Amino acid sequence: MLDENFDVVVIGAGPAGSRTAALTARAGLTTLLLEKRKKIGFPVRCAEGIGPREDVGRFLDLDDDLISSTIDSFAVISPGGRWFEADKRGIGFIVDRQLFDQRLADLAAEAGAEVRTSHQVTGLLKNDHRFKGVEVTDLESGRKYTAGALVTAGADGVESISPRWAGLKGAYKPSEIMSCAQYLIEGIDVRDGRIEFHLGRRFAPGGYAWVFPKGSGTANVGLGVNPAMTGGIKAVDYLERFLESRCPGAGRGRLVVGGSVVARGLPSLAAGGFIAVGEAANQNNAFSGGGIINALEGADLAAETIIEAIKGEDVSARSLGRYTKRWKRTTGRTNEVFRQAARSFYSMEDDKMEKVISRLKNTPGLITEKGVDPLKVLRVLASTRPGLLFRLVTVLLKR
Amino acid sequence: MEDAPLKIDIDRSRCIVCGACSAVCPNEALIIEGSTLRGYPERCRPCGQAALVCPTGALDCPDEE
Repeated sequence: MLDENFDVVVIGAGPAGSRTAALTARAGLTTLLLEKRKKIGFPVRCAEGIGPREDVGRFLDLDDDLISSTIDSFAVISPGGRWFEADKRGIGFIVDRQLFDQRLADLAAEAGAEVRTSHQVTGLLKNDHRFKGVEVTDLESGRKYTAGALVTAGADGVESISPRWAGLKGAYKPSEIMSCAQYLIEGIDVRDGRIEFHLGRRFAPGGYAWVFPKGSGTANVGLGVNPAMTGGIKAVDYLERFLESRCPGAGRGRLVVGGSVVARGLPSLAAGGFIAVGEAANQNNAFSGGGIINALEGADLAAETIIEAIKGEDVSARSLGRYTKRWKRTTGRTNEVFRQAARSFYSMEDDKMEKVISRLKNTPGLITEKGVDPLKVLRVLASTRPGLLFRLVTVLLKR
Repeated sequence: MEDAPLKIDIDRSRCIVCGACSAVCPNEALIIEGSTLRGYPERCRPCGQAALVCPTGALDCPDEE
């Protein structure tokens, strides 16, 4: 016997989970949203950059209290220390990620979802045919209970285990996780509204270092490295080196660390009675590391499919598999282009990267309203690496 | 003969519970529970991957040398 029953149970109240829960609840499905942490959005594990207002606005109103600062230009600093700058008004924002996540969870609650924090999912329930819900521990009281669901949505982020339980993925290889560290820095010499990306092996082998101004001389200053390229040196040690160069002596606030998934998209995002969404489903962008908008887009497709499946009384793997198709036809495909570009670009030796950056600078239309055009990046990269062109064509032809 | 269970050494002063180690651990030996990281030494097959991805050096792997 199950202790409780819902149409939908969502694991994890980050952007992907809260958005999924809001949409299924709004469609009249009974929805339970479970978050293992005590406080939603805390601690923050993110550089807090997000795309333009028209992208974010599809999902929520970006009120002033959610915005730390507006981005209107960016600078790419080559391994050799040359600055390439571009102005692009309204290209994005630095948000307060804790408030952002809380707002999305509030929207789920307002739509009718039941939100429980400090409730940890410890396993999936299943019968012969499909997954049937979750086992939960209330971490405050220690009480264990079961919650049945027609569909369980795993939105448990980078450390997610639920898609593993559902057989959709295995553990990541270290090279599939960028190891990231960031300080909130006070008293840094930055131009407000201009974000910086610093490239090269000295500061960030296999990744990049960033400076995201948050106003009043503060900034998120951090980096991500590919653990397979660091020779055992930790992200925080690289960050020390970068801070020493970029803002020596500046004050340090909170340290934020985390892993960012750069793995290939999952072959299947759904099993019988189960779907994976957000970073748990490798839906973030491997080139930028960004994942908020992608997670929200994934949630929209997931929720649409869940609602159809439950109303049509068919939550089989095949029925929910429409979500995989929808994802792969849209952002999933762009993501694969970005991932190929990232793999090729970030593994380059410094001198080669220097040349590629110069060539990119002279590429017309590289920066669009939505940020960097991945196809243009790939075209430049392909001119230096013929094998890449073949992989690119393969991606684009794939249905 | 079975190996003795390993000790998973988590330096709590450095661990910020980011979950990178959980993401790469093949055996669910490192799990975020609520707001803390918990190690299950009996499941650990020391592969060194968790220590490799840890951004802060909070995990020490005996086989990493």
